[in-house]
This record gives sequence, structure tokens and C-alpha cells, in this order.
Amino acid sequence: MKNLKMLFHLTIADIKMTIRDTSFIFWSLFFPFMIIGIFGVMDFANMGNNNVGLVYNKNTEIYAKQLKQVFEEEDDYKFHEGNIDDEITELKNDDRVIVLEFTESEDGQVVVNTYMSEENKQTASIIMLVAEKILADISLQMKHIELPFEVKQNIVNTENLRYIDYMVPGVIALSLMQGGLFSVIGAIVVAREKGILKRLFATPLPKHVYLIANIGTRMLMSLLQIAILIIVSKLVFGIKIVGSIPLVAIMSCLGSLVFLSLGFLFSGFAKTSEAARAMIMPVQMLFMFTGGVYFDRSVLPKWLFDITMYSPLTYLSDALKDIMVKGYDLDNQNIQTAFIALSIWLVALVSLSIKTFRWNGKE
Amino acid sequence: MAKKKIIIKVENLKKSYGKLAAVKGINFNVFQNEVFGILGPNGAGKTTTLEMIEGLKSIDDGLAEIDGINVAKKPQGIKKLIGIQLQSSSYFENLNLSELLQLFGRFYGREVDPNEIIKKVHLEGKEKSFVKQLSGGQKQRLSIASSLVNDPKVLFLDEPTTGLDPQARRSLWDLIKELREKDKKTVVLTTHYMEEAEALCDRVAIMDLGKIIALDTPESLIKKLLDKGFKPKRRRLEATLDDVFLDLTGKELRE
Repeated sequence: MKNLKMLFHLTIADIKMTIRDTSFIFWSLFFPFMIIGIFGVMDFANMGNNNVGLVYNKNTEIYAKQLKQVFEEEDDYKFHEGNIDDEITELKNDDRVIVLEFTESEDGQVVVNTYMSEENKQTASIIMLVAEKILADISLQMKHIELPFEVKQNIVNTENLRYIDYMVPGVIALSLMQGGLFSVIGAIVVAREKGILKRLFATPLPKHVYLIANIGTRMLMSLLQIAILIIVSKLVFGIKIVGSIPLVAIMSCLGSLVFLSLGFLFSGFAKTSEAARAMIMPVQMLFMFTGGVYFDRSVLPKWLFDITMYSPLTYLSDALKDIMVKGYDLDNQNIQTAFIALSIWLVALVSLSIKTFRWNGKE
Repeated sequence: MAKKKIIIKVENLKKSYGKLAAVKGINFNVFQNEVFGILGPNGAGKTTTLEMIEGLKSIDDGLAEIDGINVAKKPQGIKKLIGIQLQSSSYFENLNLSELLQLFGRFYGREVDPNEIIKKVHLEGKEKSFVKQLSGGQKQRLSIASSLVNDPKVLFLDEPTTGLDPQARRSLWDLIKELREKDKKTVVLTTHYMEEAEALCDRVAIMDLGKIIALDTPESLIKKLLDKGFKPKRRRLEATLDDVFLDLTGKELRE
């Protein structure tokens, strides 16, 4: 009971301190908006999206294959062959930049229907032009074809999700990571370095109360930060969120805990705050650039893609995207996987930190 | 004079860091309501001794008791009894003085009136200030204030005046005297300023290389030295340079 009271007052004090900390305001609010702003304006929507859907029938297969061959020789495009319905679904999910459907008209002419979304129109149009050029070459080479190809452009409605709609969940995941890692370093390594911890523990304040107060404060602050990020992104950038907000909050708390425990792991090893930062930086960078926050993970080389598939930031940012942008709920397999994976990370990191953590750092 | 009550008992206290023996078996008692000084050069073991008695450092061997409570067995119980000013401690940057003192009170399960404590250490007007806005002397006062939140029986001050200018030092001496006289506190302090020990302490223990090499009132220690036939190299003047400095620059605090 007495400890609970202590916890309550310490948490209130922690919240006050956090809000008064200008660097917290900068990193938790100004910085994420800066990122959203910069990347939102630059519109990297199709950077890395080099997936082309290819649909053909028995009669048009030969042309489709030739087109694919020429494309793959010249440029770095990934072709996916399938039926038209599946490919259009992929296009709507933003997993295809363009879908090329080879059909025949009644008089035997090969008609190439291209499907693209309004958002990806620019990139898709370039691919379409290149395709037209290649098709013209093919018809020149195959002199027995008398009728030229006809290319038709179709715009597909994709719920109008823009790059920024994808960006915001990623930035939220990123902020959770930074907040988690650095708040622990602040509460443990920096406080230890400055002598704050020594003074605190000269009082009857139990160490676990101090820890819980800090973790609680961080979670509350994370939720507040996310709320502000979402509201402002909605008002200023007009982002669309289709999924469940409570699920976003739950997923964020879980993610936040994972990164807090990672912070603990580092705090146990690092003797100074500089050492802690030096340990965190590479890990953070690796997660950041491979977590699909700034650009699609498909641009990564396969080995890196495969390894970083398991990074907590990848799970978190993908899950937040799935919930916020695609409206997936708990019954979705991706969301379930993310939950399980993040829980495994949490359990692993917590048990590891319990073993390695020292209040005074490793000697 | 009535028989003095022993409040701190230290018997054969030892502490080593690896191969280095920092405290090599020391004995002393501190009486209730006295100001007890532990003197000695840097590295003599003063802080280690203090921190063992405070329950902040583990005791390798020997016994330390405060008010009849064994420190090694009940470190949490000891914490409630004592107030600690660490040699270099810092406080949360983003809480003001009132908030800090209230929070520290909460750690003892107490609801303190910060204004009362702030008044006691003469920091009136600084209630809403943050630690970084305080001068060195004011920081030491805050440090003492934070050690008073639980109305402790014994106050431990580790080099309270190191780095302060003469004005701030004198005014801190006045505060320590007040705490002893008005609030009836027992004070244990370390210092390497001899004039400070002379001005404040009822008794002093002189430590060197982890051992207590002398323990008595300042007067009898001086007398013993003179009895050995000691002659000061310089003729002792009626006033010190410290007095000259304070006479010229005034006694008011420059904060």
C-alpha cells in the first residue's frame, strides 16, 4: 500500500519531468512530424515498388513472356504472373505498381490492358511507355504479325491510400522504439552517471518502484505521443485510418515494452551513457532502415530481407500498417503473428535483462 | 554532565575493494546530539566509512549500529532513521525545489511541507526554482534540505562545504549549528578543512590510510600536540586570512 502510494507520486513526478524536458518534446513530437513532413512531400510511394503483375492466356503468353524478358534484361523489375483478379487485389494493396493484362480482341489483335492506381500513375505510366516501346519492337521483329498491339490504360481505384498513409504507422513504430530505448538509458544510465540514482536509493524507495514508475510513465507518454501524432496527421496531412484505434494502442504498448526491455539489456552492459548510445545506435539504425518505415522492405537484398523479417520494428511497423491502413483486426493472421512474435521478443529480452542487469553497470 | 547516550556504535569496521583495504578495522562511538567530524586526507577512507554506516555500502567485517539497529541486518530500517547528504549527488533536473522535497518525503511515506524545510535551510524564494538555477552553496542547502524530509535522528554530511566560497561556507556552518541546537540532530560530517572541524565539531576522528589515528575533542588534540613540545612555525595571529577576507567582502551570501 505504501509502495503503491510511492509509485503513484513518483509516476506523477516522472510525467511532470518528461513533459518539462525539451528534448523529449523534440524527439517525440517535432522529430516524427519532421520525418512525416519530409517524406510525405517527397512521395516515395513507388520507390522500391518495382512489382509488375503479368496476366496472359495461352495465345498471348508468347508476347507476355517476351516483354518480361526484355524488361528483366534492362531494368530491375520483378514480374509476378497470375490471374487478373489476384493481380488487381495486389495492386489495390499497393503491392503492384502496374498490372499488364495480355488479352485478344475478337479480330485476333493483342490488347494489353494496363491497370494502375492514381497514386502510382507516374511510375506506372513510365513502365507503360517502356512496355509500348518494347511491344512495338516485338511486332517489328515478328513480321508475321500484321496487327500492332493495342495498349489501353485503366485507372484502378485503390481506396486512395497515399504514401503518407503508410508512413505514419511506420513513424509511430519508430517513435516507440526511440522512446523505449532512450527513456531507459535516461532513467538508468544517465541517472546513474549523474549520481541521481545513488541519492534516490539512499532513501527507502525500493528499486522496483522506481522501475515500474519509469515504465508506466513511458507507456503513458507513448500513448499520448501516438494520439497526438495520429490526430495531427489526420488534421494536417489528412491521413486515413481505417483500423481499430484500441488495437493500435494495444499493439503500441506491446511494442513499447519490447523496446523498453531492449533498453534495459543495454543499460545493464553500458557503464556510461556514451557507451549505451554507442551500443544502441547501430541496432537502432539497422532496425530503422530495414523495418520498412521509410521504404518498402522488398528493396533489401534477400539475405537482409530474410534476417530483418524477424526484427521487432518490422513486426511492429507492419502490424501498425496492417491495422491502421488496411483495417486488419485480431482475426487476421498477420496481426496474430505480430502479437506472438513481439511477445516472444519481450519474454526473451526480459529474461535476458534479468540475468544481466546490474544497477551499477557491468564492471 | 549527564551520561551521554551513544547513538552510533562502530566496531572493527572493515572494507576492501579487491586487494585495496580502504577501511582497516575502525572503532568509534557517536553521542546523541553531537557534531562528530571524520577528518583526513583524500583517500583516507572517510566516505567509505560513512557509506558503510549509512547502509549504502556493504560491510566486509565488523559492526555498525545506529540507535541500536544493526546496519548490515536492517539497511531499510536504517534509511528511515537517517538523513544523508552525499559528497556529489544530483537531483532530477525538471522538478522544482518544492516538488523535489515533496517527492523525497513520499519516499519515506511522509507528506512534508516543503516551505517549512526550505525555510529551515534558508532557501526562501527558491521554492519554484530548478536545481540548475541554484548556486553551489544553495545546492548544498538543497542537499541538506532533502536529507531532512524524514526528520532524521542522525544527519550524515559528506564534505558539505567543499568548493564553496568563504561566505557560503560560514553560512552553512551556521545552518549545521542550528540543526544541532534547535532541531537536536546528531551530525556526522567529513571534511578536510581543519578550521571547519574546529568551528563545528564536538569531537573529531582523524583517519589516515583506512585507520583512525586520533579521536578526541579538537581542544584536547591541540593540547596534546602542544604538550609534546610542538612550536608553530609562524607566530599565531589573533585573526586569520579568512577573517580578513570576510571583513573586506562582507558576510552576506553572494548567490
